[in-house]
Amino acid sequence: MIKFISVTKRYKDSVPVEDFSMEISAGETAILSGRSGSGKTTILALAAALTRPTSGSIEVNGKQTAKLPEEFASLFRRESVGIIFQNYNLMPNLSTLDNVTLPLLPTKTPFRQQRERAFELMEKLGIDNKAKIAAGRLSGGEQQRASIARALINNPPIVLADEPTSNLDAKLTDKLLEIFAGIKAEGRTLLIATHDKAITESGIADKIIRTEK
Amino acid sequence: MSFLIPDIFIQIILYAILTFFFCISLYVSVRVIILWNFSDTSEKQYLLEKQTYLVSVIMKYAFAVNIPAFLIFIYANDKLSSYLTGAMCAAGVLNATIYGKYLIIFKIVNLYLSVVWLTVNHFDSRHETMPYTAVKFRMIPLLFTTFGIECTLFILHFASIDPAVPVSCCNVIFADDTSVLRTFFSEHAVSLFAAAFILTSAAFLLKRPVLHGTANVLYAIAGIAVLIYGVSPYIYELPTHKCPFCILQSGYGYTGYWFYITLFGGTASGIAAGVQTLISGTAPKRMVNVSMALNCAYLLLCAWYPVSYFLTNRTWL
Repeated sequence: MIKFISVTKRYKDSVPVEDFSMEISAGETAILSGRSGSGKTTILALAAALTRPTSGSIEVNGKQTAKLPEEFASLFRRESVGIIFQNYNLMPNLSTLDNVTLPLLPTKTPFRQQRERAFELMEKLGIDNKAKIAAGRLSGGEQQRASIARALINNPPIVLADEPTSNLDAKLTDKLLEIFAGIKAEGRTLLIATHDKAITESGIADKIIRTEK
Repeated sequence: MSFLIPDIFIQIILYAILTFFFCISLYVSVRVIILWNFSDTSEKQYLLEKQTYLVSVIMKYAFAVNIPAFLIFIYANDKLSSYLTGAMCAAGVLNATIYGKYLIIFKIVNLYLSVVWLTVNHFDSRHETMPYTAVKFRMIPLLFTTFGIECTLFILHFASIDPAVPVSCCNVIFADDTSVLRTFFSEHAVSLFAAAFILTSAAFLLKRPVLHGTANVLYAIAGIAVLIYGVSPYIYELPTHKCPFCILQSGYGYTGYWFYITLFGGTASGIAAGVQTLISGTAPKRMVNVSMALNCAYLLLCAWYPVSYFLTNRTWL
């Protein structure tokens, strides 16, 4: 469950999120819809405890994440959230496999299990043949899928996706929607920030939240 | 004159830096005391949480620096003794002004208070809800006061030392029996130390960490007394030479550092464990065990010199 109550995030020169409230139940798929600059990415960052709000309450899976000290916030991210970043945020010099297994490094998962889980996911996403290739040499679509695999490797109950189709063509967008349908079927909470109509009109969402002020 | 000695100068710079950080933390601590409400989700509370995190990190390092700074202080005093007529070690330098003995007392008190604060801070940082933030920030004004006194005494002491005036050496200082307290410790140091050890051991065996922590305060005092009046003559192999500082010199193999490290380590972890039990209700077993092990090590160190002297010479001093 993700619950925002009167959340405001203010930077020195802008206020991307102001008095924003929303509630997404566990297992629900929600779309954050709005034009560029309407605060979608900031809302995702707040939900993932990547940043703190200026005011307001944020509760994710029963935890007041806005108040978590940094050590606990990183633990929360590791255990509860998978993030698909708009620009993928892959390590370009590491292989695809190493990128995908990165979130498991601080955990006590045995090495062999890490590899097995990564290959399982990469196979599902059709990039298992790219395992040994440096992430920087992958195409946009492949990088996108590598970042999805990385987001899912910890089996997070919540998946956050930021503009996931921004670099994809129509065919890959359909493929991505299939992947999201799979995530939804697994009972995970999915929050997608997008202004792509292909996603908003796909019928995948249980809820569409507008971010326009 | 003494300010220009590098070791003293370093400490003045250190005091200046620590004072700056203490002033920031005092300001934040006053805000925390007045405004802290963890359940509040207002901008003011979030800002306060950020500030407490920052100050906690700063103070953690400031207090951690305090521990090696104490050793530098002793070393600097020892070094300074070669400039003062009559002084053989740090005892003579500390006795050169009326501020010296209070300075060392406040330094020791602040050292232990730092450990207590670091314990509360460590415990607080292990909880998501920061349950002891208000407690640790309420301690800051007290620490600011004792630190301020220490700082003032430091300046007064080193500004008042006159190298032209002869000072008493440790032989004279610790042999002086006009002080009631000194006479009491010189006569009862061993029995007091034995009682303190029995009390800490009993508290340890009965699994009473708060009592163990309290007993460690007594153990620290009795431990110093027994080192001065009971053990040091055996280290110096001279019945009239009673001094807690000469043992830190190279002539005695820097043996004093082992005494002080075990005594401080044992008593500080014992007191810290007591404080943690008091605020959380659960005893940190490992810390209590470390405390007891170091206290035993100190006891063995204290026993080693008289026993080996007796086995060699078949007589006690």
